Formats: sequence, structure tokens, C-alpha cells
Amino acid sequence: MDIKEQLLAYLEGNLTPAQRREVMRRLATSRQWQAELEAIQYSQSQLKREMPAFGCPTSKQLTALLPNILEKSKQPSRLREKVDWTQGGMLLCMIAVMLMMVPVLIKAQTAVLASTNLKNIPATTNTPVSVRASTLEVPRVVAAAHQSNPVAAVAYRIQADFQYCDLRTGLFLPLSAAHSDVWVVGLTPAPVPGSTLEPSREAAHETRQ
Amino acid sequence: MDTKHDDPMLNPLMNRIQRGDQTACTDLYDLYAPGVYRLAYSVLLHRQDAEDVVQEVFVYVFRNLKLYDPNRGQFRTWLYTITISRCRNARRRKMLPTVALSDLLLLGLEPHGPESENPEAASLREDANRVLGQALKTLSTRLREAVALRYGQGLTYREMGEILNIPPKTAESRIRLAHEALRSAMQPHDMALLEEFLG
Repeated sequence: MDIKEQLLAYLEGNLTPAQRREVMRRLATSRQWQAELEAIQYSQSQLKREMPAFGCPTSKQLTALLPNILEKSKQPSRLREKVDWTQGGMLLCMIAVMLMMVPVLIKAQTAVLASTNLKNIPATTNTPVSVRASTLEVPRVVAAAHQSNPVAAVAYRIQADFQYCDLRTGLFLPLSAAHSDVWVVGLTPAPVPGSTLEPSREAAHETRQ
Repeated sequence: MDTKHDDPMLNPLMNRIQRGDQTACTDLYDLYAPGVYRLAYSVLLHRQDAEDVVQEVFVYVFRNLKLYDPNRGQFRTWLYTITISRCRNARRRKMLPTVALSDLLLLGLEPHGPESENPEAASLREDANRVLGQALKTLSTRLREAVALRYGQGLTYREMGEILNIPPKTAESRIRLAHEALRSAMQPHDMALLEEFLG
């Protein structure tokens, strides 16, 4: 707190006893503090005496305002006047219609985007499918798996669905036949409990012997 | 519903208003309108603007009296919060320019006093009001609001803080700044005039 702040608080009795003692000590010794106190005290007393009477209205002045105030306060507020129940109902209907339109508009927008910008994106994606029994390689793979071969076999087929663009019609059409492949892939089997070596190393060890 | 208010006169008034007694509105107006006007005038320093603010405040109060919650503060504090808000709106609408002290006499600083005063007393009051009005005019709006609430309405710093939405310490600082500004704005001649009037 600077001098003025302390002196104002001193005059208004807002200081702690210790702060008050300090201010009094300063006032007793410092001419500057005394001058400041006098100035603040003067303006404060002026304001305290003069401000309550400043701008006092005449009784006529305020009485003249009252009828208008009472009349206005009885009237509904301007906001309520503007939005009566019919207008309010219409507003609610409009909001409801707009809310209903939102999904339709989103769908329409998606369709427009699909027809204009998304032609290169295939309608379907590559899908893994189970190996059918008719596939020629299947018996061979299954047999290999059954022959207690340490190398397990996995068979899979990738079916790729492609589309081609018909230049005459401008449409993207699906290929009638799906392209499929079957591969046999050798994998290292899991280690057998109790064995000292990994199965693949064990097999290699036996081969060397 | 019977709620307790800090002002003993307010309690029966509120009960009558709640019962739909129209004369109670007039009584409430008579009780608080002078204070609202003085506050508005001290802040805006313009008679017509202060009257407009009084109208706006009381129309709002009579329409929204149910919004006042005595548990949240005094009725006077609520009323003065609305008044300060309306004063700021009025000031924003008019965008009062800051003017030199010498131009002040040309502006609408119209002092008013009790009608029963004799011409000499009225003249002295006018002079004193003019001096104070000129001094207040040199303050910024925030400082003027603080002075009007503190010395015009006799509020505490805590109440000022509630109305102006500032901490009590800030309210205290504004009063200190206002003192400094007023001291330099009040010329010795004007001080003597005030002394003469008050003496």
C-alpha cells in the first residue's frame, strides 16, 4: 500500500491495529504524510457532505415519470409482443421441418459426392474367403498337414474384386469372375514341450546325423 | 411467501406487491426513485439521461420483481446493479465525449435542489453542484461510478464490489484514485465556494 492508500484506509478505519500504529508513527514524524492526510481528509469530507445532495431530483420530476413507468410495466415486454403463440408455433414448425430435412440433405450430399468425385473407389474391397473344397490345391495342402510334417501348412486364397470402367456408358461395372490364388506357406511350428532344441533345429540336427 | 428483507420498510411493501396491490408499486417507487435518480445523475451528469435511466430501471424492476432473491443480497444492491447497468447502456448509446473543463458550462449539468429553498440558497446550491459536477466530469466513468456509490449512496466497499462486479479492494483503489483526481480538479476558488455554501 502506498501513502495515499494507507491514509485513506486510516481515515475509514480499515487498518489493522499494527498498521494503524505505523501510520500514526509516520504522521507524527513526517511532514509529507501530514500534508497528504490533510488533503485526503479535506476532499473526503467535501464528498461526504456534498455528494448525497448532488443531483437531487425535484418531486415533480419523479412524479411525472411514474404514470409512464406503471403503464409500461403492465404491458408485455417487447420480446413477448413480437412472438405470440401463432408466430411461436410457426417458428417451432420451421425448426422441426429443418431437423427432419437434415438426414435427407446429408444423404443427398453423399450421393452427389459419390457420383462426381468418388468414381475411382471400388464398390467392394478385397475380402478373405474360406478355401473351397473344389480348389485343386486343397487336398494336397491338407494331406501335407496330416503327414506329421514339422512344417505346418497354411492355405489361403485372396479373392480380389475389381471393377472396370465401361468407356461407352461411363459406368463402373464389377468383374464377373473373381481372381483367386492358393499358396502353401511353410511356417516354423511351435516348440514341443520337453524338447531341448527348437523343432526346426532338431530336424536339422537329425538330418546332419 | 413471506421473506425477510434488510430494509424494514421493504418487507411489507414486497408482501403487498406480491398480493397484487398496485399502490405498493407507487410506494416502492417513492422510496427508491430519488436514490436511483441521484446515482444515475452522478454517473451520467445529464438530467434527461438520468430520467430515462430511472424509467428503464423501474419498468424492469416492476416486471421482474420475482427475480429478486433476498438471500442473494439487499434490494438496494440489486436496484443499484440494474441502475449502473442501464447507465452504462445509456452512455454507450450516447458515447459521451470527454471534454475540457472549460467546455463544461455549455453541457447539460443542470443542478437541482429542494423546491422550498430560497433564491439565495438555491443559487449557492447551484454553484456548489456546478463545482462538484465539473470535478466529477473530469473523472473516468469507472471512478465516477465508485464515487457516486461510495459518497452518494453511502455504500461499503463490499456492496460496491457486488454492484460493480469487482473485488472490494479494487473498489477501494478506485476511490483512492478518485480522491487524487478530484483534488487536482477542484480549484481553490471552487473549494472556497463549497466552503461558503456548506459553512
